[in-house]
Order: sequence, then structure tokens, then C-alpha cells
Amino acid sequence: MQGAVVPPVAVEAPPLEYAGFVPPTPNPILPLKQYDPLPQCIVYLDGAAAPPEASQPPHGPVTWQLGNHAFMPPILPVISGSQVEISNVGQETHVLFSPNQPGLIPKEPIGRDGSRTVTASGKDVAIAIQSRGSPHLVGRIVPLPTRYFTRVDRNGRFKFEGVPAGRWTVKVWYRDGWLILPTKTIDVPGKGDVRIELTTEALAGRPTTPLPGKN
Amino acid sequence: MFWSKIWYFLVAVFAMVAVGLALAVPRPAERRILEAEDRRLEKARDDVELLLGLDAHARINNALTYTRHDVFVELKRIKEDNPDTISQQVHDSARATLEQLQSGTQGVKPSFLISLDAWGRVVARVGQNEKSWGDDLSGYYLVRDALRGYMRDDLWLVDRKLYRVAAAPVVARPIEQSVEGYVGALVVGQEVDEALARELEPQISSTCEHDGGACDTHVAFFVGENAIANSGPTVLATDIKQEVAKIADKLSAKDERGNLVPVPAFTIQGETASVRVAVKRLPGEVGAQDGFYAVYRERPRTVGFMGSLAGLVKGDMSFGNFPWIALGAGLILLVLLGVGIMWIEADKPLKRLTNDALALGKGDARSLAEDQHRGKWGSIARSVNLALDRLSRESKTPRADLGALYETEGEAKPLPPSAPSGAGMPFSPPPPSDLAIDTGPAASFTFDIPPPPPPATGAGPVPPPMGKQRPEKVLPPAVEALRKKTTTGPLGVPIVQPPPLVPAANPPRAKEATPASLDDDILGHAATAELMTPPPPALPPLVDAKPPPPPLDLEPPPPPLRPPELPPSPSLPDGEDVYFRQVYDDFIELKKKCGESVESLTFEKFSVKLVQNRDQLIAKYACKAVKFQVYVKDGKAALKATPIRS
Repeated sequence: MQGAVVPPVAVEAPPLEYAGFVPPTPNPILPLKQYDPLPQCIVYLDGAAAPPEASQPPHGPVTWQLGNHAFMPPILPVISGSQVEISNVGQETHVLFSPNQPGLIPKEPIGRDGSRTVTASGKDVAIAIQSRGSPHLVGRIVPLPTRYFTRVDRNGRFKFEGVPAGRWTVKVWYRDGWLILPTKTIDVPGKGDVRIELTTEALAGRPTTPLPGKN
Repeated sequence: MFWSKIWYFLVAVFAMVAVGLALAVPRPAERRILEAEDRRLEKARDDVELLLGLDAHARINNALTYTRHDVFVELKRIKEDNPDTISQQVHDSARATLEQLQSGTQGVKPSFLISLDAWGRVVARVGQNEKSWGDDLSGYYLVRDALRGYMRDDLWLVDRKLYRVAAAPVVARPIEQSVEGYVGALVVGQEVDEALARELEPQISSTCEHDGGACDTHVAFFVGENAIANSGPTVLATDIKQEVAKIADKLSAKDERGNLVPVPAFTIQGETASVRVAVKRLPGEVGAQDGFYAVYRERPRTVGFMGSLAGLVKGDMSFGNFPWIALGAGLILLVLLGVGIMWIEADKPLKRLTNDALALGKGDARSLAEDQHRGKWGSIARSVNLALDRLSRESKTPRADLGALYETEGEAKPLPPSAPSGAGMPFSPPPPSDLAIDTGPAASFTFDIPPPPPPATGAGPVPPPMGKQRPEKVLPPAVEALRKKTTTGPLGVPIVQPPPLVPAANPPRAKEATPASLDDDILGHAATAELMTPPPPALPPLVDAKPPPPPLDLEPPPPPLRPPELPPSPSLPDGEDVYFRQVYDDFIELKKKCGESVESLTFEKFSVKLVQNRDQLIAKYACKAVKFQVYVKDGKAALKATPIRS
């Protein structure tokens, strides 16, 4: 099963942070480039057709690379309960911490080629990881119930393999939570691509359609 | 002198207040100076931020200028090819371009230049980690915003060095009016070092020596525990960091608009003086890494009163700036007031007393006019008058004749002390209260209380004597006969009946008396014999020539025949003379009754003796007056002096 996530024409960018002495100014030559939400998006298939083993975390840790100035990827989906090995592949030494799970990561710094293994668990919450020495270095681990998740590429394309036959609901995770989008269900096996259109309101945290059970 | 003392007190209070004001007045001025210094320091802190803002503007413009050069060529190629990695060839080409830009920069060259592709990967660097490329810097907020088309600045801490960085988007040419024209970004960095701090110094200092000399205000940059750059003494950096660590929360406080709340200046102790420090958190990413900058300068020394005096200049004391006229008028007024009070209370009465004394000395006056002098001057006048009076009496009465008062024996009779009518007044016993008054103080005296005469026959029981009774004396026959004739008064006090007068033969001459035995002279006791000059050979043996008994052994004196009256005041000679005359008359009469000679006893001698005795008793016992009584002792007329305290 494959498809594409289509961002809206106008995306409300996160607020500018850590401005210097001068507020950021748009350049006088071209209009501003739209903020790209796709690197922060995860597509997830939710449905009763998932076998029990799909919820079992992998035996080994999931490696998450820590570069000099960014986590790669910036958002990491894992099966809830999985062990994540944060591997420092950059030149810098970092002291990592999680603002919403303070005891998750030891306080010792992670030097070059060093690593720290953490257990990511939870539901519907992203575990934020930050560096005390580099404020811009922020990553998120998203524990999910099953292994039917994937990130999208630069063009928004995604692809699932080994999905059991059945009816699935396609959901999109963006940064810190699920996007509130019109319910999209697909049947496996099926034909054609799945097209998921993101909305500006959804990316801004505002629902575009009434929530289930609410008017 | 009352007002003079009040005046001195007021002058002293005024002087103390003036001194206190002189010491306290510089304080508000010093406080104002310190407040002004703090405002200047906080303004310097704001000036640093303003200057760094201008510097950031210039750096952003530099970055935008660099992006208009050929740096876009390689970046455009990368975007078009969309490779997974950046090739060496592209890197070398981009690096060469950056080197040309850096070397061609006029003035201060940037510390580093970084070209980034459309995804934030490093294509090439110059000035820093030049051999490294391909790493992703898109995590930096500055890079992320620049890739979207923003121009902005930031502060980065890289390898423990602080950099002022600016970034601008790279637009491919020919320019297409489409977001597809963004092919990357260019980052320009300049290190924050001591050169920057020293460059800022003269722009925020009040005074600065020429040619790069020392300025009064210094700038320092800190990130966490590290002092990045400092234009002043390095030893202060540690103290500043320690103080800032205490106020870290205040340093990050923001108002409702999201602006940092200014932190008040604080003081640290330098090597030679106190230093006032104003700090502010640095913006950008380094602000989240506890980056801040500080401006500081030595705190002005407190000058105090002496410092204020030393700081006076000639113009401060000119007539235009100093109230000389008011001050001089006030001084004259104060002096005149003080002199006036002194003249009224001291000089004028002293002059009057001096004039009186001169008149006295010249013989124009017999005494000082006491009523014309007040207060202590009057006391002086009275004392002088008393001394003159005593001297006058002594000069009129030869001491050699004093013994005539006591030279004969005879029958004595109690004499009322002060009744003007003298012995001719009918007898009336004294009330108990008067008796108590007289005998109370006299009981404690040791000099003038004679033994009481024996009670009269048939007058009832004789009251027991107080304390130890004096031993019975062997009296001459005439005296014994006289004692037998005594009666007892209404209160059981023996009253001596006057015996028939017996003329005395060969009256003895008085002997020179010593002041200490004056009372004995009056009493006619043992000292009487010593007072006689020469001693009378025909006198009976003095059985009472022993020292007077102790005070508690004495018996109460015989009560006066009439209620005792206070003698006239010594300051009233006329009344005193009357009283003394009465005592004299009574004494003469009693001596005659006792058969004693009265030829040599004149009133002048008698009164001088009384005055001497009275003055001694007053001086010794601090009594108000002295009462004299006559009585018969050992068959002779005797005189008793009793101090009266009330």
C-alpha cells in the first residue's frame, strides 16, 4: 500500500525562535518559501486487522542518529516499548534530556560515537529529546501501538509493505500529536494510491471536521 | 545666669545640629550620584545592545551581499541534481567562491562563511572546519529561517567560541519570481572577542583616554561558566559570574510582551574599589545557554563632609553662590543676643556689686545693699555683710574681758530666750511641743547641756534621768543651798528659785577664749576656768572641769520659764540686739542673784560672745537659729546655747 501526503498551499510555520539582535526579516527578492511540514509527519495504519505480533517491539534497539546539529530523522516512530539507541555520529558532545520525561535519559553527556539507549513507551504522546548545549537540537520519539507506520519522503510519498488484508484507517502524526483530518479508510488489498491532503487548520492544531462523537 | 545657661545650651544644640547636618547633607547628594551612575550604567548596557544590533544589521547586509555573488552556482546545481551526497568537485568550487568573498571583504573580514544547499547541508566552509562539509545545519533556527527566505542574525557557541552570525537566502539567477529560486543559504560569522569588547568601550564610556587608552566602562561577554571576552580586568570576571548565578532567574524574566526585564545593577568588590555591574542576557540560541553580557565600572567613592569641603572651588564661596550676608547677619544677631544676656545676668549685677564694694571700701557705705542684688550676687553681699558685722563686733569687744561673763558664782535662773519683755515677763511653762523642739536637737549636742537642777521639794516625783546619770558632784555650800530652793514646774521640770544675791569679791578677769571652747565659755563649765585671766585664786574648786559627758548621757535641759521663741534673724541686727539685750539682762540679774560680780560684764562683750557662739553652732549643725538660756550651775550663773533646726 502506498500513497502521498499533500501539504496545503499555505502552512502556518511554527513561531520564530531564538531571534538575535534583529528580528528576522523577509528577503526583498523573493516571497518566503512555505514551511515544509512533511519531515515532521508520520503515516500510521490503524485497524483491527493488525495481528498481535505487530504490537511486539523489535528484539534489538532502534538506532537514532544524532548529528552535530540535528537528530536524523527529526521524528522517530517506534513500536511502544521499543528500545531506542541514540547514537552520536557528529563531532559534538551533547547532554540530552527529555522535558516531558525527565528521567528517561541519563544526565551523562554523549560524546562522539557514544550512544544512549532509552525505552520509548506511551500512547498518543511524543517523547521530546533536547540538547542542553544546542537549543536548536530537538528530536521526537513517537511510540505507536503497532509497526504499521512510516515516514514520508521530501515529496510526501509513503509506502507500506506486509500489511494484512483488511480495512485500515489512515492517520497522520505531525510533531506532537495526531492531525485531526477527515477519516480516511482503505481496504487491503486495494488499488491505486492513497492521497492524504493535509489542511492548514489541522497543521495549526485546529480541527477541520467535527471530532467523532462531537457536533 | 539662668538665661545665660539656656543660651549656652541652645548654642551647643545649634552647633551640634549644624555639625550633624554638615555630615549628613552630602549623603543625599552621594545617593543621587550613585543613582545617576546606575542610570548611566544601565544606559551603557542598552547602548551595547544597540551597537550589537547595528552590528547585526551590517552583518545581515553583508550576508545578503555575498549571496548576490557566484555562490549560487553550485547550490543551484545541487538543487537541480538532488544528490544524496555533495561531491568533492562541488565542494571545492563552492569553497573557492567563499574564499574569494572572504578575501575580497574590505575592513574586518568575517571569521567564517558557510554555504548551505536547499536542505541545509554544508556545501563548503571557510575560516572554520574547512575540511568538513556535508553535515546538516538545518536544525539551527537561523538556517531553517534563512532557507525559507528570512534574513536574520543569531549568536552561536561553537567550540567554546561565541560568534555573531547572520544568514541570508541564496537565490538562483536569473531570478525567477518563484520559491523555486531559493537554492540555499549563506551564513556569515564573526567571533565575539576582546577586540569587539574594546571596540565597544569608548562608545559607552563617559571618559576614555586617547589612543586606545583605558576607559571608565568595560564590557564582558559570558556563556555559562566561561568568560568569552572581557575588556576590563580579568579578575572581575569570576565575581561577575558568581553574582549572576545568584540572579539567573531574574536574568531570564520577561514581561507580558516577551521582552527581557532589566536587571538592576549590582556591586562587586574589585581590587581597589567597588564595581557596579549591569548585566543582560544575550539574545539568540546562546541566550538559552546562559549567555549574557555585562558592563561595569568602578563605583564613585563617597566623598563625605571633608571630601565635599575639599571639592569646593572659589566660585562656590562667592557672594552670588553663598549667603554671606544672611550668614553674617545671623552671626551678629547671635553674638548680640548672647552678649546681651551676659550683660543682663552677669556684667550688670557684677558692676553693681563692684560699685557697692568700692563704696564700702571708701567708707561711703557701712554695708552692701543686699536687697539691690539678686541671686548669688545677693548671697555674696549678705556673706560680706555678715563678715563685716562679725569683724565689727570682734573689734569692739576685747577677748580678754570675756571671762568676766563667767567669773562669779551665784544663783541662776532660767531665762526666756527671746521674749522682748525679758525677765520681767510672768513665768509660764513651755508647751510640750516647744520643749520637744528645743531638747531634741540639744540632746545630741555635747557641749552645752548642763545637768538639770534637782527637782523642787514637794513637786512630785522626779522623772528619771535619761541614760546614764552623771555622778553626783560635791557642790559648794552656797550652790547647794541654791539647789535646794529649786522647785518643779508644771511638767515636773525643775525650776530654780533665785537665791539671795551675794556680792562676789575679787571678780576674776576673763581669759582669752579659743573658738573651739566658746560654748563652754557660755556654759561656764571647765573651760570657764581657762577663760579666766588670771585664774581667780579665791574660786572654789571646779568640780565640773571634766570634759562634757557623751550626748546620750545627758539629761534634758531645764525647760525655759517661758515658751521658747526663735531668736531674731542674724540679718536683722536690731532684733538681734533686742534679743541679746534681753539675754544679757537676764544673765546679769541671775549673776547678781548668785552673788557674782557683774562689773566687768558689758553688753558689748556679752553680745560679741553670743554672736560668735551662734555663728559656730549654725556653721557646725546647719541650724536655723540658736536659743540662749540662763540658769544656775554649781551656784553660778551660766548660759546655755541650743541650736534650733526648724
